[in-house]
Order: sequence, then C-alpha cells, then structure tokens
Amino acid sequence: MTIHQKPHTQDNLEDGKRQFSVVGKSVRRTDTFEKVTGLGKYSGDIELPGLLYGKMKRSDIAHALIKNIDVSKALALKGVKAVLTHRDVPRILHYGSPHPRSASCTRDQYILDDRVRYWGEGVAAVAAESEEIAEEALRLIHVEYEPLPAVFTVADALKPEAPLIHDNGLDKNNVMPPVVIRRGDVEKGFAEADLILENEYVLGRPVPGYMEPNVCACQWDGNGKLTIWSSTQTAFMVRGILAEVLGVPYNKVRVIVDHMGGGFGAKQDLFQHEFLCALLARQTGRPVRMEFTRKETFLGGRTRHSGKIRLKQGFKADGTITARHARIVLDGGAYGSHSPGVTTVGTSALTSLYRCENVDLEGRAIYTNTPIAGAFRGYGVVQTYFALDLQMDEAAERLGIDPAELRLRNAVRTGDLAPSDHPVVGHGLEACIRRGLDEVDWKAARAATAAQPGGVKRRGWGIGCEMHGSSAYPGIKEQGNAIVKMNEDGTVTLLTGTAGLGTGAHTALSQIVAEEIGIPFSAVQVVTGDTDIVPWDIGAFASHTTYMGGRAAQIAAAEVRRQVLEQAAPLLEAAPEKLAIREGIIHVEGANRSISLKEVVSPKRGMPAAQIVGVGTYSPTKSYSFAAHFAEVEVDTETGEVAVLQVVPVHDLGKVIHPIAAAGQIEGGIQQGIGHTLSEDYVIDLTNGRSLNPSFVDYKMPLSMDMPPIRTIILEAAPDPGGPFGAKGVGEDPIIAIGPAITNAIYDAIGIRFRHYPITPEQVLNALRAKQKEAA
Amino acid sequence: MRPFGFERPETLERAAGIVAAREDRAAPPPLSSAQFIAGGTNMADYMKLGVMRPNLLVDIGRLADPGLRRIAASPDGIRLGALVRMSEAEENADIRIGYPVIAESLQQAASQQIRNMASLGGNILQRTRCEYFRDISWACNKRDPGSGCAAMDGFNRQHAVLGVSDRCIATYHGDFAQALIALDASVETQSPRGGRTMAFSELHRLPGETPHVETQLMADELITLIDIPAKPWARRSHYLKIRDRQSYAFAVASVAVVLDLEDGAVRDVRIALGGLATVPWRAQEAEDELKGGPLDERTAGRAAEAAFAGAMPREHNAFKISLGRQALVRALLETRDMRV
Amino acid sequence: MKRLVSMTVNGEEIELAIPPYRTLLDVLRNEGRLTGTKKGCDVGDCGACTVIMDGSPVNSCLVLGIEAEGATIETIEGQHAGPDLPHLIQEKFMDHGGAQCGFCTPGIIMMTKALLKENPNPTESEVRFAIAGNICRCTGYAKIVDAVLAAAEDLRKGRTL
Repeated sequence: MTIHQKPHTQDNLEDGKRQFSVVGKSVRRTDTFEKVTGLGKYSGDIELPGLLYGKMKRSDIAHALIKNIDVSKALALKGVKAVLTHRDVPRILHYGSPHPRSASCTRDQYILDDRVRYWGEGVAAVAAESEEIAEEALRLIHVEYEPLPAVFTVADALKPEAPLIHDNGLDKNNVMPPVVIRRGDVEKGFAEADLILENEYVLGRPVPGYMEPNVCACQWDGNGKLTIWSSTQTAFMVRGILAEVLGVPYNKVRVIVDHMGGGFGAKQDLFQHEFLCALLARQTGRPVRMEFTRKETFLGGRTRHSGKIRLKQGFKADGTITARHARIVLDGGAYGSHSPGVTTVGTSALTSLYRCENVDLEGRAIYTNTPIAGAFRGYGVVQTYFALDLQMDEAAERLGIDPAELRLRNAVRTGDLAPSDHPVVGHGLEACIRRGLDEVDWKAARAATAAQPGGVKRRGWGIGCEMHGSSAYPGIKEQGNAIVKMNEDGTVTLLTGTAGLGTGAHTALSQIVAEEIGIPFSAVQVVTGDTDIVPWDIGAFASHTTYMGGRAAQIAAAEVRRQVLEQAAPLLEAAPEKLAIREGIIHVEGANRSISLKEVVSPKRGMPAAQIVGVGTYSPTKSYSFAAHFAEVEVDTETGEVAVLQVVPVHDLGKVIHPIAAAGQIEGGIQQGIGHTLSEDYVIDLTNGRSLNPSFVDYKMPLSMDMPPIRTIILEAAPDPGGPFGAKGVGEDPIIAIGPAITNAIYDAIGIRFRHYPITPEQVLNALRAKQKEAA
Repeated sequence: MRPFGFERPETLERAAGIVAAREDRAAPPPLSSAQFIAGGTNMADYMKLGVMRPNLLVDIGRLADPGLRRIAASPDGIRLGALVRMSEAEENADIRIGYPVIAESLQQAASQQIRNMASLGGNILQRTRCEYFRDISWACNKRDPGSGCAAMDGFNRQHAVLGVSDRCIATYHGDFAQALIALDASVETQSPRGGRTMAFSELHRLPGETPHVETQLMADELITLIDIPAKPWARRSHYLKIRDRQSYAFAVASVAVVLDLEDGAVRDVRIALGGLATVPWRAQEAEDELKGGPLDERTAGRAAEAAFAGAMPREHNAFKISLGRQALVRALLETRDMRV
Repeated sequence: MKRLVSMTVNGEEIELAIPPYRTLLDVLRNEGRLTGTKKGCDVGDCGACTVIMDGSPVNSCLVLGIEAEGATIETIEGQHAGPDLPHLIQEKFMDHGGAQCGFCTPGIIMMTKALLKENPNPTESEVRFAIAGNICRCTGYAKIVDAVLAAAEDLRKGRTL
C-alpha cells in the first residue's frame, strides 16, 4: 500500500504543512480486540433469560392471494408460544427501507400481507421454546393460496397483459416515475460526431453476501418499552418505523447495534422479521430472537438491481464526447425498497465521469415477482459505469486512441458539474489515472499483451474508472451528529450514532476527535450503537460515515477544545488564541509555559469540574472520490476460465484518516467486484420465480485462493473542503471500477467484447468458438 | 434438525446388527430410517436440509477396530481403512509419492475443516449437490422416488452429461472416487451376512429407473476398507479439476488419469471423469482409443472424442462436453509429462 | 432425550445435557455460552464456526454435540491471556487490519492457529490454501494473509503460539 501525499491546495483546508499526530496513522482499531477474541457481542449473541426462538414461514409461490392460513396444528404443538399471520398484525403500509418520506424509497410494504409477491416472502411467524420446535411449527402451518399470474423479467412485467404487482397509479409496474435527465442538445451532439457507438449492456444479479445473517432479538419491559438488538445499518430509522407501526412513541423503542457482521448497504432496509420479532415478544411477554438461515438471507435479503442499459455515445475523432444517450431499465423485484434511489444515483452518474455537454438519460425501475432488489455498495453506479467504461474502451479502439489516453482527455475536472449538480472539486480522476499508468507501466504492459504469441493462456490489461459521492445528497438531506464530552481526567468520550458495519469508521471518528483536540488516540473512547444514548444518526451508508459523521465529530471536538482553552487561558495567563494542545499538553505558543489538559479540567478544591461538552452537527452537500483500477487477467482459452492476476487500484480520498482501514475497504470492494464480474449471479427460475442457488456453495464468491495480489495506492490529490481534514468517502468506490477493468482486460487478452456480467467460463468458450468460426 | 435417536455401538458387527434388526432393513440405504454416521459432514448437512430424516443415527466414528483407521502401504499396494480421515490420507507420504492422484483429488476437495472430519468411506458415498435434490420442495426421484425430476427442464448447468437417465441427471460430485476408479481400487464391506469385496467401479449404480438406489450396498452394510493395487502406473497418476473458483467448489469437469508408458507408447491407461456423470465414471472408450499407441495432442483428442460420444446434454450443460474433452486432453498430456 | 456429554473446552472440563440433534456450534453458543464462534451458514460452507477439536480445525456446525464426547475443544475465547493481552495471532490481526466486520475472524484465527502449529513457516500460497474454507466478504483476504505471515515471522523470532 502506498499513500501518496500532496500538499493541499484548497484555501479553506488545513495547510499542507500541518503535521498530523493521529490522523493518517493506522492506529489499532477501537473494535478490534473484541473481534479477534470473540468477546464482542453481535445481535445474535445477546443472552436473554427466557428467550424464545422465532421463525418465519415463507411463501412457496411467487404471486398469490392467501385464501386461508391454518395455524391450529402449529399452535397445538407443545412448546409453541405464538403464531402470527396477516390477520394478527397491524396493517400499516410502511417504507421498505427506512428513509422515511425521502425520494429514495417507496412505501409499499406491510408487515404481513394477504398477498405474496415473491417466492420466499414471509407469510407467518412463530415463537417457540427451541429452534427445532419453531421449525416443526412452520411445517404444521398450512397456507392455501390462490395463484396470480406472475412475471419474472422486466420485459414480461411491461407487457400489456402483465399483472399489476402494486397499484401505485403509475404506468404498469413502474416503481416510480422515470428518472429523466436532459442537458444540452443530444441531436446536435450526435450530428457533430465522427463516431457513434450504441450497445446494450446486461447486468447480473449479485447479492451482498455479508457474513452475519440478518438477526434481531426483542424484549419488552414492564413499562411497555421495546429493546431491539438488530443487525442494521440504520438504527434510528429502525426505531422510527418500528415505533410508528407499533403505535408507541419513539422513546419507547430502543435499538442497540453493537458489533455487526457486514451489511454492504442491504441492511438499510427494515425486514419483516424485525417487526414480527417485536410483535412476538409483545404477545408472549418473553424475549424473542429471529435469525435468518443463510438460505433466508438469499430468499428474504436484498440483491443488486439486475437490468439492461442501452447506451449510445457520439465521439469526435480527437476523442471528445459529443453526446450521450442512455436508457436504463432495472429490475426492482417485488417491492420498491431503494429502487428510486438506486435508479436516480445510477442514472445521474452518467452525466459525469467523462465530460459530455449533451446528455439524454432516462432510468426506470420495474416491479417483478422476484426477490427484492435494494441498496448495495455502488448503488446503481456499478451498473451504469460498467456500461460507460466498456463503451469508452470500444471507442478508444475505433478512434485509434489509447484507452487510458481517451479517458484522460475526457476525465471530469475541477469545476465541472457533478451528478449532484455541484461543482467537482479537484482533478482527482486525472491524478488517479496518471499515477496508475506509471505504476503498471501501461504502455509497456499493453505492448507486451499485444505482442504475445498465440497460446492456450492469453493475458490482457484493462482499465476502469469511477467517481462516487460521499453522502446521499441530494436524494436525502442528511445530517451527522456527534457529542464529545471531556472527562475530569482529560480523557474524552465520543458519542456517535453511526453503525459499525466493520469498516473501522468508529476508529476514524475517534482519530479525528483526538487530532482536533490535540490528545492521544488512547484518550478517546467511542460510544456507539444505542439509540437511547447516542445522538441521532441517519445510518451508515452512502460512503458518508467518515465524511459526514467525521466532520460532525470534528466540529464537536473543536468546541470542546475551545472550552478547554477558555479555561486554560487564565491559568497560563495567555489569550486562548495563543494556546495550542499537543499530546494533551496545553502550550503557550512562542513562550515556555504549559499545563496539562488534565490539570485544567480536573476538579479543583472546593469546586467541582464543569462539564465540557461539544455537540457537532453537520449537513453535508456532497463530495466525490475518484478511482482508476488497472487489472491484468489471464484467459484459459481451453477452459474459458478467467484468472485475475493482479489489480492496481488508485484512489483519491482527499485525506486518508486510517490507511489500513481505507486500503481494507478498497481490497474488499475489489473482491466483491471480481465476484460480480466473473462468478456471482443469483439465479432465479424464470418459470416460477424460485431462487436456484441460495447457498455459499452455489453462489460463488471469490475466496482466498481466487484473490490476486492488490497493490493499493491512495492519493490525497483532491481534498474536499466539506470533509474532516479534507477526507472523502471510500466505501463504495472500489466495487465500481474493477468490473470494467477486468472486462476490458479480457478484450485485450482474447479480442472479445463482453457486454454483460458475470462472464462465465462457458460464455468465454462459446464466444471463442464463435470467433474462430467467423475467422474460418 | 429434526429429532432422532443416537446409538454408539462398540463393534462393527453390533453397528450393522442394529440396522439389520430394523423393519425397513431392506430399503435402499439412503431411504433407511437408520443411518450410519462417521465424520458426519454430509449427514449433518442433509439432516438440516430435511433431505435425510433418519430417526436413528448409528455412530461408527469411534469403532475401535484399528484396521478401520489405518493406512497400510505394502509392495502389493495400499489399503485405506474406511474411517481414515480425508486429511490423513491427503498428507500421507506413501500416498503422496506412490499415488499422487489420490492426494491431488483429496487436496482439491471441500475445505480443510471438512477434510479433517470426513471419513474416506463416507466421502465415497457422498450424495449429489443437485439443488433440486437438496431443496426438499422440488420434485426429485432420487430423494422421493417417483416424484419426478425438476432438474431436467430446470437450471442444469451443474448436471451430468454422462450416465444420465430420464429419471435423473444429478451429478456425482466427489473427487476421490475418480482417483479410485483410475487406480482400479476395490472395496471391502461388512454386513450381518458377512464380508464381500467388489471392484470400486462396480460400487455405484447408474440412476436408470431407480436413482434413489445409489450403490450396491445394503442398508446394514458398511464399507470397511479400500484396497488399491500396486501397479507400475500408480506413480504416473494425476487429477485435474476444473471449477468455478479455486477452492470450495465442486468440479465442473474433472479427470483422473493413471498412465503406464513404455518408450512413449501407452501400455495401459485408466481414466475416470468427475463432475460430468451421474456416477464416478470410467472412460473406457477413451482408454481403448489410447492403448498401444503414442500419446500426443492428436491421440488424446481422439480419446476425448470417444469419451463423450454418448454424452447427453440438457439446456444449460452442453458446454461440459467440450470442456470435458479439453480437460481430458490436458490431463492426459500433463500426466504424460510427469517426472516419476 | 437429552444426554450428558462431557468435553474439555478451552482447558476446562464441562458437562452438558444436550439433545443428540444439537450441533457442537449450537451447544457452544447456547449451552456453553461461548458466542465467539459464529454461525454464518450452518452447513459447512463458510468456516465461521471453525473450532479446533482434538488438534484439528473442524466446522462445529457439522459436528453433533454428542460426537464431541470426550473431545478437547479450543475456541476463540480461549486464545488471549487476559484483557489487553491478545494471542500472537490476534495481535497480528489487530495490527494488520485482518478483521473488518469480524464475523469470519474467530474462525480464521482458529484456522491460522492450526496451520502455524503444523507449519510455522508457511508460504503465502500455503496460507491461502489453509483458509480456503473460510469466507471473508470484507477484506479481499489481503490483510488477513498479511496478518498470518506476520504471526509466522514472529514465531520464527522465538515467540510461541
């Protein structure tokens, strides 16, 4: 891993000569001892006396009305404490994903409905004394369905005779009105073009594959207050929706998320089991835990949106893009979830990355009777940049321009309008591409692949680029909050509401606080994950935790520092602005006087210490992180296998807070991206809507031996004035550029352009055979 | 998992006797209400899925008979007790040097954790990974005889192209078994009726009309020993596995080759194919094609053609025929080029 | 229906009454109150439940609790010496970023311990081979491999497992 630091250039940022004491260092993470020792408590680890085990009965039909549910046999089973069906639960239409009333999500779900819209939808729930009894009870529940016509593809869902999956008043089966973006004059742009390319790109259906299956445990106390331990990225959103649906005030729902076994976006949704677990616990008067099996995380989880993109671009001979026209149709699955947000972000992303003044973009999401597509790292941009960056490669070849050079000529630059309608800050993309070209010696590498003699195994190099916003603005007006409290011994406590998915964000926030106040990292303790204690937070998603939550923590810490200096000033006989805190010691600048922070804040004789507390609130607009990925592949032309030999990802993060954690995000994103591109596809039977590979054997994620060496390079090329010390997000970026880099490398290796993912060995073999035939 | 009883008899005879005393002792072993369990990796999985629902487990994992867990190499060959763990065999020096195809097949199977538990006897008898078999709500003749086969017109990318019937196209997914076919191994069994020995290639039965009858074994019969003869060719033996990722994936196509070369000509050869057939598959037509002649790309290609002459693809698995041919050619040439 | 089963877990002999159909994983997590061992798939596909049983790493989700009768079991909770006193392997996972969400971490650490006991000087590909049955979805494995190799290096410098 290389951290390439350049002096900051923004006037409103810390000046480049600043020496950081904590930020930029890979300190030991705050959550890591508990993780490596197994002592950390995940939501499924909470021990509750008298615990009951909850299980959900799932539909074995994709689209049907429930005519009758007979639960009498289940209820009669010894050890069964409660059974709930749609007749027993509040019938309140709620947002599937808890960003209430935002444009990103739809309100189209009930806890349990008298109708099922996909195979595997929950239709009933039981609570029993043991897991085995609960499972047996599920088998004893008899559901009588009246089948409805079902559609499993977007094409079928749009046919005139297709059933209406939700009656939302829109064109048939549209989740929301189309996302339409028009700028400039596309007709004129195409008329000016020397080259016009138009292709269709087909997107598979990967799943997040987080290691911790969805789980929650619920307990009601004597005062009618619910505590729920849940594996969620959005604790406060869960609180809000649960409270509204259960009909209790917000202060009677307490959501606790301590450790969390990954989410990758999908655990932003509120799942059926979270409502049902709370209701089962209320009905039985005992704590109840509901834990998905791995199979259930496939059936009842969330997928990335599959779909099709038709992309047409015009190019001048010098590579200038004159027009961009795109029609994006995504499969939303049975419920809306994040479809509006994903479609909006994915579609608007096509306004940028590579400059183009004339764009005509339209994105749609369509309901089908398939598993729910939701939020997943890369949020629509994985899909649209796959299309865009594949076509760039094709254009480069047709124009006789090196593919990296074509990208450089068109790369988004400072001041350009970003997808969020904000000016882009800095030349981050250009910096990433140039650094990567040097690192891999691009010209030589491509010359070598071009010159390789025939043979069974052929190598190729490819490039892919991306930019991604930190924060969900403007889709959601977000807010990050933090409270920093100074303790009497000079240590501080940071309270943050952001969830710890596993990224190391709590550590980064603690580093920011330590840096801002001027105390050692060890003097900061972070308190998280309890909605009764920590300040409100919108949740951990949209690559915004360090950017937004970190900035809020920085603001809170600055306030604490201000108050400390105010108290120190009379003791040091100097004005507060003349004081600096380093390593917990307050110095008078230019004079040889100092006092320890502890001395300032500790109780004095006859006088208790006053609470020093800072509250930080930050509503960001948006910043963009950039990346260029370079991948080398080897294609076995006899077996169709594609091996990724090495990846060089270059990311501009503005300012890196914790290098190892940031690199870990990049490497993990690449792992998922390699899977998306080559082996991962959640397969749905198109005759009945059943999933066909809901296991870790049959859904093939790359494992240790599949992962190539990754030479991660982090640049601090374009710091963002909105982020803490210039920092920007990193969570989503790495999964976006790797797909195009690999696909373009496959072309370099064997001269075949695939325009879909995943690219399976049999498709490679078939394409090679077809190419041979054509040549012969 | 559904509740079941559990017995841990002291002796092999007693273990077999418990099953023999049951009313359904004549049922095909997979359908028997009493099941033996050794390493348990397959059984625990299938019980959780509800694919197998025994009401009694007979634990043979701790039987005291030392022969059951011994690896005995001699000039006549090597004898592997049925309770030897996969990892023990994989790491055994006699096997690694003298019978590389065994070590290679085991090393590429499952995961270290599973190989540490799974017995060789159990591994041979592992049941298919066909998704339509594993999910009990699908029709499956193997799991519920007569219920039909959802894989025929389903997503059958993983399914067999050799040895199929109109009742079942489920692939035999093991690796080790291919090595045993290639090495001309035999197995010894015990039941209350006494012991018997059979060629390993005879153990598994083609699905035919009765896909639920998977082997020649009876419900109360236990494999006790795997016997591999010492032949001059065992050292020149090799296992090639092609799969969707580099670990923890079943073969899309695999080939075990044992080759006896004399002055560049094939004196004898045995070939087994995995991931392609309903049972561990001996490619005898390919062997015949090669015997007595040189082994080069051309002859290997002819052998590969012969091996798949009778292949019957379905909608999604036709690629396995060309992939299987390529794999066979590659395995043959790699085996030829081994330094022994 | 329940049977008394005794086993030694992290050096302590325990006796538990368990039904035969309960896996060692569930026994450890519920009856044994050792929740550090994780359930990621419950069918042997992910390795999150890896424990060392009589010296060998196994998937505890595929072992029936009663099959562990008399066995010696090591779980993640038994590795560190006390608060702030991580085991060598744990220390390297902490310092090299080997744990992100942490759900696969206990299983991979147990796997690593078994590997380094057998082979204190593994190559990178031997490390990757050893943990090939452990799914990590966060790290891309890079930092895990770094951590394992760093632990091996310290072993060569005289530290012990």
